[in-house]
Amino acid sequence: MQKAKKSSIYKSFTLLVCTISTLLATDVNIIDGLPYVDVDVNGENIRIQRIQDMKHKLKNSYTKTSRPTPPFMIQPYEPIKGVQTVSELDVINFLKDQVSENEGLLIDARMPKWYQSGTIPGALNVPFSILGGEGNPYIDQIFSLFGVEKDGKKWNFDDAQTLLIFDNGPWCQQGVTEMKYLIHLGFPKDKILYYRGGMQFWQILGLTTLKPKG
Amino acid sequence: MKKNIKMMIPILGVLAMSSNAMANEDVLVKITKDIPYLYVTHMGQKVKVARIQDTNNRLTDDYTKTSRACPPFCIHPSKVNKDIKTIAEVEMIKFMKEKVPTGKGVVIDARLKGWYEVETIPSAINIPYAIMESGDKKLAKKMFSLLGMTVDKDGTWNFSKAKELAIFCNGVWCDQSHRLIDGMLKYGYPADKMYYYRSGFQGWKLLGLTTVVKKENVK
Amino acid sequence: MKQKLIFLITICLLPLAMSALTTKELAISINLAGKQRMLTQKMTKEALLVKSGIEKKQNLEKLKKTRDLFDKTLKGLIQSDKSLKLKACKDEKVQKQLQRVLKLWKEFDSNIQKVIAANATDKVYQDIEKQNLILLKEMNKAVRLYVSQSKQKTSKRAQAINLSGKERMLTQKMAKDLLLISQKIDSKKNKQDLKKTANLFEKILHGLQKGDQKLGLEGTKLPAIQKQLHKGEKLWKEIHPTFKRALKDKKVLHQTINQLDTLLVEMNKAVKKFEKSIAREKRALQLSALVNQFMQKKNIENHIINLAGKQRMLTQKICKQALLVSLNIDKAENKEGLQKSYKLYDKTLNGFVKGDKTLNLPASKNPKIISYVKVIRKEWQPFVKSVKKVISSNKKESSSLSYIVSCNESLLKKSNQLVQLFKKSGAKKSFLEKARLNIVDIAGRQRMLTQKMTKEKLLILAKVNIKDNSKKLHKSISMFDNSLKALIGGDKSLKIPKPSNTNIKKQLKKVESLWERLKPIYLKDQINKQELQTIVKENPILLKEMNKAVHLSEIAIDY
Repeated sequence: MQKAKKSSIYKSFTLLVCTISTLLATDVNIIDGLPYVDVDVNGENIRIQRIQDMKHKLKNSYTKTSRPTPPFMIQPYEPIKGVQTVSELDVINFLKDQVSENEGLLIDARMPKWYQSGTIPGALNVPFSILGGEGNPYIDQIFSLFGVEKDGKKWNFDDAQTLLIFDNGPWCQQGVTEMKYLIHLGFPKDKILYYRGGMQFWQILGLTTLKPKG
Repeated sequence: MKKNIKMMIPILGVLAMSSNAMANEDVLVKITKDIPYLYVTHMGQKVKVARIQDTNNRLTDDYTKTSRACPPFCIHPSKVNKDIKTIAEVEMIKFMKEKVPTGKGVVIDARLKGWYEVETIPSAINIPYAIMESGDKKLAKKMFSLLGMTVDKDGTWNFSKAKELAIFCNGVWCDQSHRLIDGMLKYGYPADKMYYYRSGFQGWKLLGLTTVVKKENVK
Repeated sequence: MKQKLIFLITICLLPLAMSALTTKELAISINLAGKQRMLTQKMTKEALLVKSGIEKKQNLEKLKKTRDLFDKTLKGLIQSDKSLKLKACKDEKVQKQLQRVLKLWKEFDSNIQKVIAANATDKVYQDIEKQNLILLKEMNKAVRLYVSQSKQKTSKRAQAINLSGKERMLTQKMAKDLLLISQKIDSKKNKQDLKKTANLFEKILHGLQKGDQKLGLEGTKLPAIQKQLHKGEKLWKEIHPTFKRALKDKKVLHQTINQLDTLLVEMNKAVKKFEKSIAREKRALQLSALVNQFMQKKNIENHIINLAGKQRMLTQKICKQALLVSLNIDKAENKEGLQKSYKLYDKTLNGFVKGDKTLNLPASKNPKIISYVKVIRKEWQPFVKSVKKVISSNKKESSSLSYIVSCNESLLKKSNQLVQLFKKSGAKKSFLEKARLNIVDIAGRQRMLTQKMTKEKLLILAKVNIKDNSKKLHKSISMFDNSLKALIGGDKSLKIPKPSNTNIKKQLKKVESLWERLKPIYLKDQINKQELQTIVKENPILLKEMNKAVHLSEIAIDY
């Protein structure tokens, strides 16, 4: 009688431990050993992690396969020679190491309505069109926020921060257009990074998106 | 009669060219600006690789799942290693257009046979990673010889004529191509002749590109 | 002579008063001015360490360095210093306060120099003890003046920066107090001060971590800063209990003072983390303000083009309504409508040049636009005269009507020219924007066609130039038809993509089904009374639904 009691207690204890450990453990990590990354968004702590529901499927317009060409062309892996293409882990490390020390900016190159509907936590919106056109009055001010200094009439990019740029995904033009505008203005290629996967791949990996306030 | 046929050929050629030109204009969803679609050979059969033309089409299968257990299905970095170039769809298509028909290049599906048989990229051949992982030098030699390696008189493996390999598996969270590449590097296959199609089959399907599906599985 | 001098001095000072510090320059000033507070305590502590003989040589060196830094920074705050990246603040109040600090500093410094020269008597140390707190107080006032210079909305975390900065100063103050007590200088008072300071340090530390309403702190939610503050807390918990023994044992005193220096370093790290976080937030705010400005400007450009497009439609609508009045169909209603239409056209035309708040139109600075509007005005004057006659008179007014009928198309052409002028005048557009504008242009043209078709039909009914107008009507019908098909299914030659947005698709389908009913009637050579009524009643609905489609195309994120 006692033996049976003991084994049943043992069983329920094991069950409890297992339940607690499954509740505490993350099944879907970013990489092994990294369940989440915390990002400072205007003083609030936003946690970037992956959706834990293993049955979850992406169902929004990012599952569309066939946007008309033109204007939606598939971008090559490296659409601009000299500008490095990066992926999700690089974006996360960039947020952790450079953005947190004010040494880099994560830039959402899409038009504001896209940004408002959901973006990567920690990203700032610089719509590509704000950098276009000759004699654009906004460029000086935006460049100074990027750490670009003006020596008389010329820009000095020596202390400019690294910009990691993304848009909707491999079929979207907004990011590449922004990078072309930047390079045309003299921004050094080795201070630009391109997250080709964009919001589509960010979401298809179940990573946290943020709807910015205001 | 012969004369007529001789005359027909250039005319046909012109017609074919013009129909191609027309076709380029008519294709709503192209692969690249200059390539609306292309033809490849898969298992001896001619297959047209194009994009799905229905602009409302959405992917709904398991390739839209967002949360596979990690470990083991974790997000992979941009590069497999510092010497192997990562590529995407445009590079794959150009590879399939320029290198595959002449035998200079081979598209390799690194997944286990079961995956390959259900659905794969047209023109891909299957080298399941398990073969290279568990294999020995003998097997590697056999495999590499099929891929253009030659053996010099002194027994050294000569890769100067080895084919270029565009390798893929399921997607950015899949490690089957990594394991194949590791296995191949172990036995000396040159890194500069391998390309890693990182987005893999998931990326391919998300752009509506043609896949080869085994008939039995189509219900 | 005196007056002249005063005048000259004021003139000279005026440009100085004009130049204010940028946000970055102000932040640097606030940071370094804040550091000065801590340096007053550090200097005093180092002087006392020299007196007590603890690591005399090293502390002399430290004292020299600290003294030099304080001096250089103060002078930099007063008159700028490139090497410190300091730009002098020209605000009168700030400069006055800095001069006050400078005066106190000169006195304090003379005593510090005596310590450095190994010439310090007991009196010198007593003076240092008295003066350091006054110097601290006045320096703190200067910091507050700098902070008030910052016109931007400082978030709640600004207080966190201020108080975590204060913590730096408090570590040095406690070290200084320990030394004073151990050297039996004003022991009782300094013992009390030490206790107070220790309590304050703890209170602020707790407030920084968990929040404290009285201190104006809301606690920190950022894990990186929490970690850093926790480090400081751990260190403090080790240091605090050693105070008692430090006062009795020189060795322990030495250790405690070193540990307080470590605590200074850790608190400084916390300050830097707060500063970085606020700097990020400020930058984000500035960026979004710029983007908003830019988007507003863009929206206005699109809005102007939309209204200019509407003017095209109004030329046709006016003619249609005039015809309905003359045909005695819903006369009163159409007279009212006619009045609304011409008034809107007139108001909008004015608004393009002079601006109009209710229409959300800015005044134009573009000479091409201004001169072309004059050209339109020339045609509009006689046109609107005829319209007014049709409204006010009870007779048939056939001459006014025929003027309207014969001139409305020229007015339409010119109104369209104005749209094209506006399109070209905006900032260079990317291909995406061009594609969207194209859609809006063609969908907008559909609005105009709904009215044109109806006008042409009515002209045929009124037996005016039947052949001509039948041709024109068929042209209008096929244009509307083809454009609608292009909008629904996409058209490469017109560069219109096929919409995938469900709302836009639904709206276009709605227009299509309306059109399916009306098209046969427009095409018919002879129509009966009921069919005429249908056209008259439904063409405004077709216009309305088409207008909705235009609006949706304009605002949709994903076309």
